[in-house]
Amino acid sequence: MKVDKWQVSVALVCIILGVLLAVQFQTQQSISEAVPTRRVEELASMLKETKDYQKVLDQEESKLKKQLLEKSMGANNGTDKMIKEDISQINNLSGLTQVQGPGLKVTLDDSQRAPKEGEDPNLYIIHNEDILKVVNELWAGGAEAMSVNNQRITATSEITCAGPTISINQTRIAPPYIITAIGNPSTLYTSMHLRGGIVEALQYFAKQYGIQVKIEKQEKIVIPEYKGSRELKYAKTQKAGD
Amino acid sequence: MWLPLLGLLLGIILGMASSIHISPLYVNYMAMAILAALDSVFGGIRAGLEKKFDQKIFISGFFTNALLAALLTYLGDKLGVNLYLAATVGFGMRLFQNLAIIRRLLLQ
Repeated sequence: MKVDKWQVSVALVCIILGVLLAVQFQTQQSISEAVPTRRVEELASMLKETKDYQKVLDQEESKLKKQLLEKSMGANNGTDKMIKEDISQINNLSGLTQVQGPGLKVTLDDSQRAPKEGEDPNLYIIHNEDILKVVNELWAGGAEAMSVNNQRITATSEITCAGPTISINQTRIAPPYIITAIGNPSTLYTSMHLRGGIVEALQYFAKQYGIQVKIEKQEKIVIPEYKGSRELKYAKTQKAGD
Repeated sequence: MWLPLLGLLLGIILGMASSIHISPLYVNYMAMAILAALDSVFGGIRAGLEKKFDQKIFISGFFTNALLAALLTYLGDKLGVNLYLAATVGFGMRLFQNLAIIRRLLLQ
């Protein structure tokens, strides 16, 4: 069979065409193999179910913990009253019991205004740093117990950024953020309003961008107990001679 | 006619075997390259059948077509206008025209 010269050239381009086709085909296939939207929705609903179940388990856990606490308090019935008081003090301090008393309520909320064109939307929302600073200022002002959206702040509580929400005690909380602190209300109030303090900064943002800040003295504040895990895996008491 | 077909097969086998994956960002560019190659192949076959095939014109046509198509796609990306559609339509029309002429030449 006679082979024309043009057929060789066309065949060469055909090789290129074939390679391109194969690569494109493979790429398209890998795109369509990516997680489809429906699967994402399915997973989201599964996640929600699991979270609901977790909530139920959390409630059960806190109930059992309360029982355990009562039992351990009861066991000391015959012994010194001092020990009982000590335990209750330690529990209050470490956040294992619900406490109440006078204090301060600080409410922070995102701005209701929409950011203007070209403005940083981050200026219109409350960040974990803001909460962290308020909490820190309240501790400095002599707060004895604190919670943010009913999450007790303990020695191991984190206050981190979790996308559009804030994570405290591994639990995501959403605005409005209500920070409650038990302590001397007027001392706490003054510590919040220190010149150059966090509230002054926040109030600047309130004026400028519409962030909402509210500080109220309260006669009675109830702060719930810490509901997370309280087992220490690594930190052990150091014994004498270790 | 069998040599171009053989080339196509060889190319597909080569591409499959290489398992090259390109970023989804460049899928449009690949599509344009494929169209340019297809256009060149049909144009080449037609010219060959009409006995006025010119190596230089064929090869330069292939590369300039691919380049212009890629340029249009890039420009469209930057401008937010689907300019690659222009190349798609242009190549598509030429494909059908060339195919019609090849059909006629083969049947005569």
